[in-house]
Amino acid sequence: MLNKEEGQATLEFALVLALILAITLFYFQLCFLFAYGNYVQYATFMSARAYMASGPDDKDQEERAKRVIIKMIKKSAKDPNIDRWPGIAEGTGGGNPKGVKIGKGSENEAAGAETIDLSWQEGVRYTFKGKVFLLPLGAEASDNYLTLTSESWLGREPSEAECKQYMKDQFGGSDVFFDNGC
Amino acid sequence: MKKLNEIKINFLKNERGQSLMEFVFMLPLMIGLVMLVIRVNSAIQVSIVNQKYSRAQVLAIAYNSPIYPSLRWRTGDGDIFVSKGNNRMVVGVSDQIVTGDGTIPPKATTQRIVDADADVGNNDPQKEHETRGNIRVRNTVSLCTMSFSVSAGGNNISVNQIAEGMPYPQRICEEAE
Repeated sequence: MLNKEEGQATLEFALVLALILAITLFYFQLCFLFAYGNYVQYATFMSARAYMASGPDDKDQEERAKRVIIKMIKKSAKDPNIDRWPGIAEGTGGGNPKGVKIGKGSENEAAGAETIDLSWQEGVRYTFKGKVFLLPLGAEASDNYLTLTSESWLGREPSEAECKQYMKDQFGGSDVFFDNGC
Repeated sequence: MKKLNEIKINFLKNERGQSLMEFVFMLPLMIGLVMLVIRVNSAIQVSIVNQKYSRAQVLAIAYNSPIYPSLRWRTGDGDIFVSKGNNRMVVGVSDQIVTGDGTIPPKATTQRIVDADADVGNNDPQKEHETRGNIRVRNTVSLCTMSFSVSAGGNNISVNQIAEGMPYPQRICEEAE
């Protein structure tokens, strides 16, 4: 049996096919992941823009941002923790919905309210991970994921409630405010 | 000698390992394609991220001001915006810290998309590359307003200059861009 060469080419082809398939699938998966990454960049920007615009209060601004990002990258508003394309990537880390953080960036948060130099760092951040090798090629399961983060910092306009409060504090009880000047 | 020839002929006619050899020939091409996708995508990502940060900084400067740039920038050292006769800003991301006097110009981010030993051409940040081994990512965000300029005698004059009676050359936003 060992000396027979029947089926030798088939066997060789089968072995090589596995390698070719692994690399080809890796290539496509990488392309999907990069394309998804670009889409997520746009999603965080759209969400940050919704967050930036003023509203009745800051919770309203946050809710608006959340609605936009859920609409773009999650399955539906009913299932905000299920990703739209889980085969490509899914949200990871903390946040609600999973992977989404709306508000101040970590450096801005650490700096506190005293400094305005980092006030621009407020917006939306989304962390997601995607499988890289569809055929494992001997890699550990934990190494098989690429984790990426997209962030959009557009700042946040003060809400009407904050403006009124500010004017009250400044002018002793008056809740009049004008244009964008609170 | 005859035996050697027979071995040679047998080797050439032998089809063992043919698929493997084909795979080995294809492997560099496949790795090359993967590397190209990674590098081109990196350049795209750099462009997106630079644009996002430029926009963030512009919005921060214009933040909370009915007339931009924000007051804290207009009252700063040398009043760098209004003294030019127009309110205009072009904000971008530079690879080196730029001095206000123009001695150190902004340098665009560069991303290599070819092999390390390939010719990448001209590296002067103010010029285009002769070859496209490197991609130069230029991203700027502009804000333009005429809030502080008034038209007088065919010229736009900065309101800061009116008291001094100094006519300014006409520079409008379209020209600036």
